[in-house]
Amino acid sequence: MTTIINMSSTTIYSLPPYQPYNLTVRKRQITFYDWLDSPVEDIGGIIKDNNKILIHSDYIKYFHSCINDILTTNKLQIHKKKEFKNELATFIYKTSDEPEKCHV
Amino acid sequence: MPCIRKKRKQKRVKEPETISFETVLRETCTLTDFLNCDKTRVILEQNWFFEFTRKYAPQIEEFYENERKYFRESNATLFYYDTCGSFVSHLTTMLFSHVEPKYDLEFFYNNPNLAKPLIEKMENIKHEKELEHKRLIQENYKIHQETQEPNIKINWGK
Repeated sequence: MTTIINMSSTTIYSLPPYQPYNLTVRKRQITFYDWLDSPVEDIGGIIKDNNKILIHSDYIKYFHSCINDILTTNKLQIHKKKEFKNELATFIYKTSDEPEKCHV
Repeated sequence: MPCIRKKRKQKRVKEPETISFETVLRETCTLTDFLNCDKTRVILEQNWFFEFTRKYAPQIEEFYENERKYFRESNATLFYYDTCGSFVSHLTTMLFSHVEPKYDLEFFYNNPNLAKPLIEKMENIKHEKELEHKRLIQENYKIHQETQEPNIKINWGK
């Protein structure tokens, strides 16, 4: 279960989202690590994958493996794999929103 | 009458074998040599960037765009702030910085003139190495002379 923490200012654990030109961004209410464990939600509620709740970290793993597949088919290699995975997770985090219940 | 056979008897002058600049590059210069020279390194890096953006980045962009559209259509939390796919450049830039570059030396083999700065540099290095080698020999000789016993008188039987 995710813990909701009111964060008045942005900390290193809650990077602000990328600012799109036509949208205002909401302040982060939970930390990055809590966001990883939070479920992916859409207009119909929590997304389930084979009756299992899909959490953001699951999706990051999937995204990472897909990118790796593209790289390996093109015979490309990553030199700092762990750092790359962290940056990829940060990128997805910065483009994504938090679950709706965090903003209630 | 002029002798017709005379021409045949004339010795054929062998032309000296010309080694092309390309073969010199192929046989003597390694990738590290190309990377150690500033001008050739810049060309290699620019070519790699061009190849990455032309060949690999579109595949990443296509995959990202499919994922983004899928989640954006259902107003999901994922990719919520990327409304028009403008943040894909962050992803490709990040990938470019993490992927090990595949430098292509064929470009220099096809355009050997671009590798002239490298050859000049290598010749300079070779010359400097020769000078250094000579200097070391001279120093060793001096040290050897100084350490030898001074003025050993030899009686040649006189």
